[in-house]
Amino acid sequence: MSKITPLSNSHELGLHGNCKDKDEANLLVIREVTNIKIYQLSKFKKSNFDINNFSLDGYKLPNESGLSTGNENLRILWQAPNIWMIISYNENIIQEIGKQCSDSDFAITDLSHSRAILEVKGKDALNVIKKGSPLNLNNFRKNNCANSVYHGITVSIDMINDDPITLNIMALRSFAGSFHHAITDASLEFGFNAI
Amino acid sequence: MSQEFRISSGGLIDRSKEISFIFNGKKYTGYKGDTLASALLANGVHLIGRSFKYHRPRGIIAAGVEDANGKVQLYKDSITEPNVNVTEVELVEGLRIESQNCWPSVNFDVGGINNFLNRFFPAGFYYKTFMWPKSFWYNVYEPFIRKAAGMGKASLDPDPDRYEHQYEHCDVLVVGSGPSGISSALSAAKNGARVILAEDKARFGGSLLTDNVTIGNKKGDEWVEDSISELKSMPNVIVKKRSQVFGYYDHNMLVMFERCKDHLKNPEPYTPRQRLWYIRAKHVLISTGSIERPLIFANNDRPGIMLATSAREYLKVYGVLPGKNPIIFTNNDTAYETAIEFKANGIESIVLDTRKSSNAGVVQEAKALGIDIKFNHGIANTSGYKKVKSATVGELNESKNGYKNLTTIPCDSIFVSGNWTPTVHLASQSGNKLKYESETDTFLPNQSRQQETVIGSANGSFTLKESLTDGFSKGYQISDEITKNGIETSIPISDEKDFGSHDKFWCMPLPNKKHYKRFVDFQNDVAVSDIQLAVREGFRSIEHVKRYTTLGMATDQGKTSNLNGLQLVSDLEKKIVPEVGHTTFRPPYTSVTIGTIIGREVGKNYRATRKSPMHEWHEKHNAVFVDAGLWLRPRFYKRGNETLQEAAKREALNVRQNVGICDVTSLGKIDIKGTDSAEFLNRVYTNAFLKLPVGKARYGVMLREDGMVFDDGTTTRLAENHFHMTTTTAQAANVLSHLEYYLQVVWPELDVNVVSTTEQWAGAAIAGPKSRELLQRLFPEEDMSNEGFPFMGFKELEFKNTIARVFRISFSGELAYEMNVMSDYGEEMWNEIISQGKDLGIQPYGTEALSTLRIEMGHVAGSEIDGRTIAYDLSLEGMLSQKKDFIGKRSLSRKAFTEDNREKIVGVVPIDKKTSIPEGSYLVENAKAGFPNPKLGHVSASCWSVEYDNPFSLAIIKDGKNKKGEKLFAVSPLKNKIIPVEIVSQHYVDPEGKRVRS
Repeated sequence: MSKITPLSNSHELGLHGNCKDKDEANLLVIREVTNIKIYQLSKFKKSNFDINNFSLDGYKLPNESGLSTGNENLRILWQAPNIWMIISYNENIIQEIGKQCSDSDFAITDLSHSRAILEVKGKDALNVIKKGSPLNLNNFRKNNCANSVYHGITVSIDMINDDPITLNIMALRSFAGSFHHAITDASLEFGFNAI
Repeated sequence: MSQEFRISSGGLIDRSKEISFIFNGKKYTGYKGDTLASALLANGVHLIGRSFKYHRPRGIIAAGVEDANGKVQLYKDSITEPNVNVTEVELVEGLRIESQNCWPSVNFDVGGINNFLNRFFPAGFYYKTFMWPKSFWYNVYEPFIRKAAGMGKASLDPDPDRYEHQYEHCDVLVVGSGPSGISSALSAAKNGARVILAEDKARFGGSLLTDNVTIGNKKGDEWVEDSISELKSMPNVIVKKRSQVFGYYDHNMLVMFERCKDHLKNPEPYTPRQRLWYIRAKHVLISTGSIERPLIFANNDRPGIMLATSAREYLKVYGVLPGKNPIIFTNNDTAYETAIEFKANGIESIVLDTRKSSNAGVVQEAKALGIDIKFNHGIANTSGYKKVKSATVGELNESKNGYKNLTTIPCDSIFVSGNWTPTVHLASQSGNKLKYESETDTFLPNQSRQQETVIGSANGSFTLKESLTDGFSKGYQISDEITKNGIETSIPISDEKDFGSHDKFWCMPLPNKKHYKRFVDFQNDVAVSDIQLAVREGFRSIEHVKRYTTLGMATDQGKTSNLNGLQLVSDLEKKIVPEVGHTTFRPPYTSVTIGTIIGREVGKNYRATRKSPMHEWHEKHNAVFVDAGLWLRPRFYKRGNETLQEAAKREALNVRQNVGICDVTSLGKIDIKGTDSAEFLNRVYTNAFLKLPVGKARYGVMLREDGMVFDDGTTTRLAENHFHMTTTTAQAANVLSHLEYYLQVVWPELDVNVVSTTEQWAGAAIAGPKSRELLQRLFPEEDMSNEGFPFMGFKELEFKNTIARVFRISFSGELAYEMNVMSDYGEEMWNEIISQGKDLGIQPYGTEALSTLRIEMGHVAGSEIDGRTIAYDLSLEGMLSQKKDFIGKRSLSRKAFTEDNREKIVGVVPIDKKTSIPEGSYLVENAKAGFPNPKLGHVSASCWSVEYDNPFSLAIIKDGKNKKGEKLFAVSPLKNKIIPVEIVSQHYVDPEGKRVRS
C-alpha cells in the first residue's frame, strides 16, 4: 500500500519568505520527518524492570524530566514518569525493544502514524518556537525535550543538535495542516528552504 | 517650505538624508531621524488638529507618548490608521497625514462653532440633554452622537501587514533607558543576569539626551552610546528600542509591543510591522521616568504652547526651534535649562516664574546669561486662534488669587513646566499601592505586590546622582538574588546642574470677571470649570469625577492631566490629595494596534483545525465540512444544486438501500493495556466487561460521579490484557482525562496504561445491507458470514500488506462494519473501498446523513448525552449492572433519579407528517396556555426519516414512558412554530434491531 504522509499535501519544497540576498547557508531548513517508527513505552506500575538495563544503540532511557537522548537516527524522549517516546528510522526497532523488555513490563504502543514531525534547522530555529510557544527556551540545549503548545496545537519539541540548532517538532497528525502552516508562516520572516 | 525652524547644525538627525512627506495635502521635508512632530515643527507647523469636544485648534505639546493633542490620520501606501501620535511616528518616505476631527479643513472647521457655544456643553451635558422627547433617541440623538463621536477613520480594508508575537523569559526586565534604566541594566547584566532592556523611543537615553550632564567624564549622550554598545555586546542581554512595555499582569508577565517596520524605508516583505512580546521576568525594574506637568491658565491649549522640556528635546535631539520668540512659564527650576539652551542657540526668551525667588544653580546661570526672569508672575490669558500670538501676564498678588497688573507680551510660543509626575502606570498595574509624596506633589510606588522595583525619577529620584545610584545598586541587588555571582559595578561620578524645590502653585487665576477655559485634560477637553461643576453637582469620588468629566480617559489615560485634576479636586473638596486618591491605571499605557494584539492568529492561523487522512479525498469530492470540535468532518457531499437536506436524504437512503461509507477517523480511540485492564473497564463502564471474550466488542456507557451519562462507545478486547476503546468525537480528550484521573488518583493500585491512538488509525464506517458483500470483496479469504463474523465481532486482518482492524459494529442501525488502518494508508483504504463498492452503489455519507440514520434508529448521541441525562432518561437503564459497582452508581439512588415520572427519550412525529420540528422546540400539552406554559420536555434531534419519508424527532420528556400515543404540541418560539405532534417509540426504524444482526 502506498503511504500518504501527514504533510505530503502541505509541504511545498523550495525557498520561502525573506530569502532574497541571503546566503542559503543562513536560512532555516525545514523538512518533514517521514518513514520513522514511533513507539510509546510505558512501564507498568508493578513492574520491577530496571530501566538502566535497557538501551537502544547504546542509549539508555533518560529518567529526568525534559531530557532526550540519541542520535540523528534514534531519539528517546522522556515524556512523563516511566513513559518514553522512541523515534527511530530503524524499521525493526520494535524487535530491538522486544528483545529487552516484555509486555508484562511495558505497555508498548505503536504511534508511528499518529504524529506529524517537522525538522527545523538553523540559527533562528528557536526564534520560530518563541513566536508561538510560551516555553522558556533560555536553557533549552541539545538533548532537551519539552511538551508545549504552538499556536494552540500541542507539540513535543526535541533538540537533536545545537550546531546548527536542529529541532524535531511533533504534533498530532490531525493537526498537520495547521501545524505546518503555523511553523512555516512563523519562519517566513527569517527565510527558509523547505526540503 | 524649507524647514525655517531648523537650526543649522546639531541634533541627532541625519541631515544628509532628506525625506518628504505630505500634511493636509501640502508637501514638507524633514530629515532621517525626525519624528513627524519634529519635522512639522521644523517647518513651522503647529496646528495639527482640532480638539474632541470644542473643536479648538490644537498643536503639539510634548515630544513623546505623553502628547495629548498630536493625533492624525496616517496614510502609508495603501493603508490608513487613525489617531496616530505625531510624536511617535518616525519620518520615512511616502508618509501622508491628515488632521482629524475637522471639516472641511483644520484651518476652517465647521465644528469650531462648538467652541463659541461651549457654555452649553459643560461636563456631562449629554447626560442631561438627550432625554426628550423619547422618540428622538433612536432617530435623531443616537445617529447624531454616533456620527460626532470618535476621532479619525478606521480602514474598512483588511490589514495587509504582518504582526508577530514572541514569548521571552528573563531574569530582569528593565523598562526605560534613562540614567536609572541603563545603569541598572548594566549592573544586572555584568552580574550575570539575563536582562531585557526596553525603550519606547527610537533612541536610548531618555533625559540624558537633553540634559547637560556628565557621567564618568563623558557627556550624558556619549555615556548612553557607550553603555548601550556594551549591553548589546553581552550575550545575556536583549536591548530593544521602539519597544513600549504597556501592560503588567499577574505572575510578572508583561507585554511589550515593538515597532519593527514602519521606520524602515524598504522593509523585507515578511518583516512584521509590529511584534507583541510576552515577557516573563523574575524581576522587573521600572525606570519609566517622569512626565512634565502643564501649568493651568486661561486658554492654555493654543498651538505653540508646549512643555518646556519637550521644547528642549526638539532643540537638542532634532535641531528644531519650536519657537523663536518664546515665553517660558514655570513653577520650578527645570524650565530654566530650556531658557539656557535656547539662549545658546541665539533665542532670547522671557521666563515667568510663579515663585518669588530661587537660589538654584541653574537659575543663577540663567541670570548670569542675562535671561529676562520675572518672579512671582503668572499667565492670565493667551491670544491667537491657530497659534499663540501673545500672553497676558501679570504679577501675582499676595494670596495668588489675582494679579496686581496685567500686560500683554507678544510671543510665538509658550513653554510651560508645572513640575514632574513620575510614570507609575506599570507599578500600579502590578498592584503596587501608591503613596502620596507631598514634598514633590507626586504619587510614588510604595508597596510591591509582585516582583517589581521602581527606580529613578519614576520613584521620585529626580537628580542624576540619585538615579544612577538607584540604578546601579538595585540592578546589582536584584540580579545577585538570582545569580549569586556577587559582581558589583562601581557607580561612576556624575555632574549635573543644581535644582531647587517647586512652587505648589499651578492653577493660575482668571483675570477679573473673565470665564476663559483653563484646560486640565487636553485630549478630552476637560477644563477647570468642568471639574468644579462635577464637584458642585455632588461627585466626590475621583472615579466618579473622572467618568462624569472624562478626565484622564481615552488613549491619553491622563498622562499630563491626572495629577493636576486630582489636585484640583482636593482643593475644591478641601481635602488633601491622598484622601481624594487616584484613578485606576489600566493597560495599555499607550495605544496598541489591534493587529499587534491579534498577531498571526488570522487566516489559517485563526484556529487550528484537525483533519482526517482522507480529508483531501473529501475535498475533491465536493464535501461540505462541518466543525466537530476542532475536527473538520464532511457534513454532506454536494451533487449539483442539492441542498443540505436533499443531500442528506440521498446519502441516508443509500445506506438504507445499498451501502455507504463514512469517515469516522475523528472518533476517539484509546489503547488500554495492563493486567488490570478488564477490572478497570468494569469499574468505568456501567455494564460488565470482565468476561468480554477476546475478539469481541461491547457497547458501554460511562457515568460521571454524579450519575449523569458521560459518554458511550464500544470497547473491543484485542487480547487478554489489551483493549481498544472508542469514544465520541467530542468527548475523546475528556474520556482520556477521566481514565487517567481514575488511574492516577482514585485507583493507583490498578496496573493499566491508557494512551490515545485516535491519530494512529484512519477509520471508515461501511454501512448498509450490501456492506457484507463489500467486506467480502475486500477480504476474499475471510468468512464474513453472520456466523463467521457476527455482530460485535472483531477481526484483525491483512489488507494489502498492512494490518486492518475490522469491527462489526453499527451506529446507523444497519448491517455495518468499521474498518481501521494505520493513518498513512487511510486514503488508499478509502479508495479501495469505494472502488470495490462501486457496482454495489456505494456513496460516501456525511454527518448529516449519519445523524438521520441514528435518529431514526433511536440511538443517542451528544444532543441527548448533554450532561443533564441519566441512563434511564436515555432508555439505557438496561446497561446498568445490578451486580457490580461502577462510577456514578451510588448517585443513581438519589430520589430525583428514581422518580416514576422522570424524563424519558421518546420519538416525535408531526401529525401532518410534513412539518419538520425544529431542534430545541419544547413540548407542551396546550399550545394556547398562558405563561408559564408547563414544559414537558424538549426536542433533542430532528431529521427527515428516509424510511418513512416524513419528519421524525427524538425528544426527552417528563414521564415519557407513559406518553406514547399522546398528542402534544412542539413549540419553537425562535422559529415561530407550533406543531401538533404525536409521541411514538424512539426506535422508529427496526425497533427489534434485526438489521444490525442480520
